[in-house]
Amino acid sequence: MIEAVHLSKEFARPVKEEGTEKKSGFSFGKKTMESFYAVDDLSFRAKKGEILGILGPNGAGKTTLLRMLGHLMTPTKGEVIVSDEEGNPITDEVKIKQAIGYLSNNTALYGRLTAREMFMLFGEIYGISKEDSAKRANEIFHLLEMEEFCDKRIEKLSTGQRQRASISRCLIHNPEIYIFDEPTLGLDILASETIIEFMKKEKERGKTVLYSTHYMEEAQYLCDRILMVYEGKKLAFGTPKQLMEITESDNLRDTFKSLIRELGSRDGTEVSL
Amino acid sequence: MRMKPMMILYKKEIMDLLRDKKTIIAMILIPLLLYPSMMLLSLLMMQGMAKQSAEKEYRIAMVESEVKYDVEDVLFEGANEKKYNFTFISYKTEEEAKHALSSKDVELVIVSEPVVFHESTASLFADSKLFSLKIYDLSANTNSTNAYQNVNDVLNSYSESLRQKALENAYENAEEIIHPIAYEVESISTSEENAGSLIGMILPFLLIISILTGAIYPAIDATAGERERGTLETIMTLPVRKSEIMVSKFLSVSTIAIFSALLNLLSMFGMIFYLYKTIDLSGLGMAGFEFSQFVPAMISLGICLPVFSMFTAAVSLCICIFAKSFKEANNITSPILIVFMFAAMASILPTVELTNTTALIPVTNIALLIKSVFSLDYNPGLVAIVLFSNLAYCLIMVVIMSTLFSSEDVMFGEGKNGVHIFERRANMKKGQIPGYGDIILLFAVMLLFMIFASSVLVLKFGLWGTAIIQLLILLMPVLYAFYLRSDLKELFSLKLPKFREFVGSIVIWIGGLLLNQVLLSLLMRLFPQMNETSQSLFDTISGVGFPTALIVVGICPAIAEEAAFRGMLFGTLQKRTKLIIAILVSAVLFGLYHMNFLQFFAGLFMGIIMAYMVYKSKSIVTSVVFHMLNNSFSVVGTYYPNIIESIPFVGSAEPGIKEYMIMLFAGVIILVLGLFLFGAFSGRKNLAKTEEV
Repeated sequence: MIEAVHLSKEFARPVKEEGTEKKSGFSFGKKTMESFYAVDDLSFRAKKGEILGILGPNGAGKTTLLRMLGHLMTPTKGEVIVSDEEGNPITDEVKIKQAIGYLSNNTALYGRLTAREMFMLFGEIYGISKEDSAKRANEIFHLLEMEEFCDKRIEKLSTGQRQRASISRCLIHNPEIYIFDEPTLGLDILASETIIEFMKKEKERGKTVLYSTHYMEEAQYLCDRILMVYEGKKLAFGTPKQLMEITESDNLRDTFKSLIRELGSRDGTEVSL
Repeated sequence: MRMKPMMILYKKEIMDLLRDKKTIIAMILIPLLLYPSMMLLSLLMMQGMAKQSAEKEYRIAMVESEVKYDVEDVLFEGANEKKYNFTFISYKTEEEAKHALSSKDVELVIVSEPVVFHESTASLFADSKLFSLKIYDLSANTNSTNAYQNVNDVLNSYSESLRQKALENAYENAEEIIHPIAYEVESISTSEENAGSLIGMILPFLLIISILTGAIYPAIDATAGERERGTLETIMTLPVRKSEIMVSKFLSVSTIAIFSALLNLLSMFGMIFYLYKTIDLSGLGMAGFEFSQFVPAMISLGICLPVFSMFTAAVSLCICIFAKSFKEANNITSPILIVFMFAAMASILPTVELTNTTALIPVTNIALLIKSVFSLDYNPGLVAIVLFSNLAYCLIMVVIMSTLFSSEDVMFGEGKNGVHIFERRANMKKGQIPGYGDIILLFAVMLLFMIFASSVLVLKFGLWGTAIIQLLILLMPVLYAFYLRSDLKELFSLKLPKFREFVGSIVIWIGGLLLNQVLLSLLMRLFPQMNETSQSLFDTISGVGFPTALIVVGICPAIAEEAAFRGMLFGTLQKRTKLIIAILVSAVLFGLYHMNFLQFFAGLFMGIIMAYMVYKSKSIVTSVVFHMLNNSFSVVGTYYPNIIESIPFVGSAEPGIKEYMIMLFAGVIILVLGLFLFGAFSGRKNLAKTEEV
């Protein structure tokens, strides 16, 4: 089980200045930094055996949120609590990472190694014995239909094959929690199918799956619950059905649009999508 | 940190790196092939050139005369003896011969005439070939002058032999007349030393650059490469700590750098051994060269180079971690290359040697160590200093590296290009602020310039050398900032101060002077062995008039150094970081620039005050005035010591505790008064604590 408690992350970004281009020779575009919250006070809990979708437009803070959940980044405020099967929180960072399988489109693989070599090396880091790793590698490569290319250098694989190799990488240590950051982005139908099927299977095995996307249809079909974020803030949280009911629409796409429009009218600013 | 995951990561890094062609090329191919062949080539060329000039045939025009054949005989015999090669061509008249010379058909013209000696001497030279000569050459033509030198050499030997014969004919103990003072010359330098110093000049440079390229490629691959390929995030999802990742990367890059260094060393010694075995080294002044003499040299290098390689690996990693792609990494590593090259060049300068001080300068110390090791005049104490200072620098770099690795800004950031100078100027934005890398590069270049080039300029041009140095120091930051298209007015705080600020800088100077005196005498008491007085200033300006000295030593450095330190350096830092850090960092760099223990503290103290003045007034004029007054005070003190001595307290020769207390007290009050003029206490923030140190 994984829980976010008042999670916030502060970043610095350059202030956007209007009309900086002066014509006089010595104008000086002052580049001052301002701080902003990429993730702003988010609290939620993901249960065993559910797929929790995190939805939001680009720059909503999805990646930052997932990085904090995966303990790749430290939150500015709040905390992420990961508990073991008895519900006791795990405190050691290394042990937390043992419980999480993290996959994003930034987690590429070592091109100069083969899938099997990488599997064995990472297995060692996860503390699995060589014999067990080798056995597990064969099982997983069979499961993901990777046998024919698992001994080729990864740089020589196709995108779909690489994606499967990536999945095999997060399966090594049989984690309880999966965190997937836009796993289907830029993949063809067949490749994204593999991932979606995989998530469903893991859910059935009682694993927790957290996943972000901006494909609304995919989320509507796959997720048990959905967290909608916008500018780092919680926009809505509930089952797809609940969310659609609030906005009286029959698909998530319209729900999302009308929620943002509502937010825009509250602030008095126009939101463009 | 746990050993096991670290070793697994290390295994992964090495496996990954060794499958990269670029690393293999930089690590193995470059040391094994390129650079021994370069050395071999240059040695062969040197040898070839030496042979060529000895065996070249020179054509000599002989003008017909009675003694022509005598001259030819003498020259011919002499040439045989000395291994010269002359061909004689006969000409009827002097005019024809001279014409042939100017159209380069011959190298030399010899006109001979018989000569009749005085009766008393003629008997001494009986049976000798005697003549008088007139020689024409083309002094602008190397071949012709070489021909003349050869002929001259032969004729001198011939005259010498005639003289000896004559003396022997006249006296019984002629030898005593010829050599009234007998002496022998024997060079203390052994041929190992000669060989070593020749190799020692070029080798450090090659070796250091080779080690650096051996380290840079894996460092780029392990940082920017991982980021570009997107594996950095993958590795962070693993159950390992960031420190473990960092150490494994450091160890793997070091391994490759060390391997490359040792390979360099081996290939170098292999080459020397090969040369020793196969080529006649006597032509290069290396006869009697004993290879075994170099074994201790090899051992000390074998110990120091790995440590240096680790330092290099750490430096490369620290820089490369900022880059987000290979391209950017190549961009930002070029300054390291330049700084390393500059520092390594010390070994080529004949005057720079390994001393207690130079043994502390990173990179330079290794270059000088290699040089001294090859001239076989190294001492183990200095080797130890080099070894330990490199260890210390290496540790410092590792600490910096771990800070960088634990920073999310660095690891997930968009990558900050710290050095802008290597980008295309057309792509630069107007009003760009220089990066941290830019000011580090500028400072390193200035420092190395001061260490190595300035002494040469002063030796060559005396006081004018000092003026040239100051001009160059002024030009460096200004041209740099101009190239970056920075806003010069803003960066260098080019603005006239308000009148009260102008007065304020004079007042602050008086206060600063009093406090500086207290500070310096305190330091001199604490570290009496460091008492290096301003003798160097006295040396520089001795022999010139007061006004010239005032301009060159008092005013020029004030402008140049202010442009660099309070302009470019502080101006950049001020825009990029907190005020207090900007002030302190610029002041520390200013202190380091003086390269003298006592002056470091004086520079630090003055640097803090001056940076604050520039910050407050936004005018560099204030710090220039301060600096000018300060330097001029020393010049006045050198020329008119009685003026300074007449000033109460400051000029007193042996101030006691009471005087110091008064100076301290007065100094603080005057300083505060000056700061008041700068409006230091009218703002919201009370920064008074900052400047009082």
